[in-house]
Amino acid sequence: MTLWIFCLVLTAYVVVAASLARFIKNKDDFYVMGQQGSTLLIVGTLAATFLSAVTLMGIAGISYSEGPLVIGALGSFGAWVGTLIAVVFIGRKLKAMGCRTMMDFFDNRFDNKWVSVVALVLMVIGLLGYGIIQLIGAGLVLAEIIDIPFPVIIVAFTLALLVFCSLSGMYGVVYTDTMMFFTMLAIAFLIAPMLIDDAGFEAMRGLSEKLPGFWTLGGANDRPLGWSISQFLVWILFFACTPALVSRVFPAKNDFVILKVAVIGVFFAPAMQLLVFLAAGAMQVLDPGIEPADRAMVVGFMEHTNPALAGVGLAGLMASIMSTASTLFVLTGFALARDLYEKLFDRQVSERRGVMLGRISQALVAIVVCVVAISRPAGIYWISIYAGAIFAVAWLPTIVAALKWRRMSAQAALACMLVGSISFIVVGELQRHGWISLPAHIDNLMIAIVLGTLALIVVGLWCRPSEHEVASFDALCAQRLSDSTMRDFLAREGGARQLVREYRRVWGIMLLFVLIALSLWGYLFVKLGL
Amino acid sequence: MNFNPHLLLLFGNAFLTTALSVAIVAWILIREYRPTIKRLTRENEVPREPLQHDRGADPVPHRE
Repeated sequence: MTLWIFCLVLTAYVVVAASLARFIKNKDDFYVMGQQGSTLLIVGTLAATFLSAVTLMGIAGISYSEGPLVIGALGSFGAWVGTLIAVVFIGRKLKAMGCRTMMDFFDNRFDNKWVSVVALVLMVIGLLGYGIIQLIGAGLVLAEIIDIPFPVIIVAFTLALLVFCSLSGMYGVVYTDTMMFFTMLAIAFLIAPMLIDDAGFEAMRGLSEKLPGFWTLGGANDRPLGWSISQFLVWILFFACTPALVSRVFPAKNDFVILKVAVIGVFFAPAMQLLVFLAAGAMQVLDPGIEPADRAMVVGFMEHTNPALAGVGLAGLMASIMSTASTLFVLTGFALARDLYEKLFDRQVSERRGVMLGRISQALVAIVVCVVAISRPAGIYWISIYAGAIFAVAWLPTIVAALKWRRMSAQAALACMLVGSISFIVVGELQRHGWISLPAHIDNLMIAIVLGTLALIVVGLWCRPSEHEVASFDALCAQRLSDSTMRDFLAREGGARQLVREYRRVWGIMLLFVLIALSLWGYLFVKLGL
Repeated sequence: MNFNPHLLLLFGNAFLTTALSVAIVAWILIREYRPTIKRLTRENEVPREPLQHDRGADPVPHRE
């Protein structure tokens, strides 16, 4: 049955993505779906990209064996706040500047080829490294569950990703992400509560007697508080500027969509994660001794629900892998076609040729991903250690300074990105080989971000920004997404009334979600914490 | 009753995430949208059909 579900789900995604290819008329459609993204679609793609296999397997495994608070209380909180920053501060500002990709920001702000090249190389390494390693890890588990060879799983995923990304560009990614979001919702709001109900709140509370510390921050393994704080910092810094999340708002129709996504999408981040973590805790009551622990939720789907829900759970697991992978790979393809070929090599291409170029680069990325994932070279594991966090150490200080500091220059950006990324890897390697030991609760990410920021400040004070950099800073300060949104509304027939209605609707949504959040988290606290 | 402060932190942080997002969005709405919305609402209250902005005569919003 699992094989049928695998084939059926994959076919459904591919059919939907392929049918969207007819909407691709120009480059704008391919890269940002013509900026027609509704609230549902942008919430769907943001939440689906946020929830990766790491939540359903890695962190769920830790929640099962050590307790749901170990990562959930502070590490995940960093990810939720980071997502909020990515949407409302960075993504919204970049969209106001007219960026279609993250690289547009570096090009517009600095107009310096070296900055663009370094930012592009870091982005491609970061996205591919993080994406491929997730695909390998989750693919191996899935191959075991479905009982088909790992290379077949990877080829099937690659073909599906090829259709999402190459045929229908951002349309394919956003629509399939939204479909996947609903399967993830089913896991969080249907399967997870069922598992919790089966275990019972009383029995779950009683776990702290069997596993002392299970309901504490340190967990059953009594991890130090410094470790939890370091997790918070890692996740908030990574999520705040990762292109996978920031770029989710670029296809949004207008500013109201982004504001609604900031409330609804950011609510679903903890809602989906915490319910899964609590369900993983419930699995400790229902089925103690699952080995390895990261299979806890899979065992929950397959052995503690009915076959239909097991199918939904499996589809959700596939969705968590594919939604994150499709976003990471589509952005890599965009970077190669639009940012490397069109802009860095200064090629003028027509709309039609631009779309074709985008499709070819997506196909190239898919082939590389497939070959690397199947061959699993040792180097990919090394890259994966550093891939995800590279955005935190190299990009975050650069982007924040570029948005807020008038003296920010290309030289300062280069210094920050190079010092941040190189010191991150060098300190990490020295520590990994035992040649240095860092003080307790200090890791290479913290050192790299401090060094990168110091380099940025010193070089920024030393070098005078160019005329272009000063002009681009003044322009970005003057650009507000709210202005263009209001202008668009008021230019329409009956636009004033629509504008007032949208404004009130956002307030209504805010009130509604505060009430929902208060009820949900309040209920769970009363049941487990009092 | 067995109060667990760690769980209060867990669910408190989950609620705080929504509270933070709501506070930030409210701040944006008040700072960037409210002046124009108030002006449009005032104009709407004046019995004048159709609204000046509904005809698209002055699409540029005023910053106050």
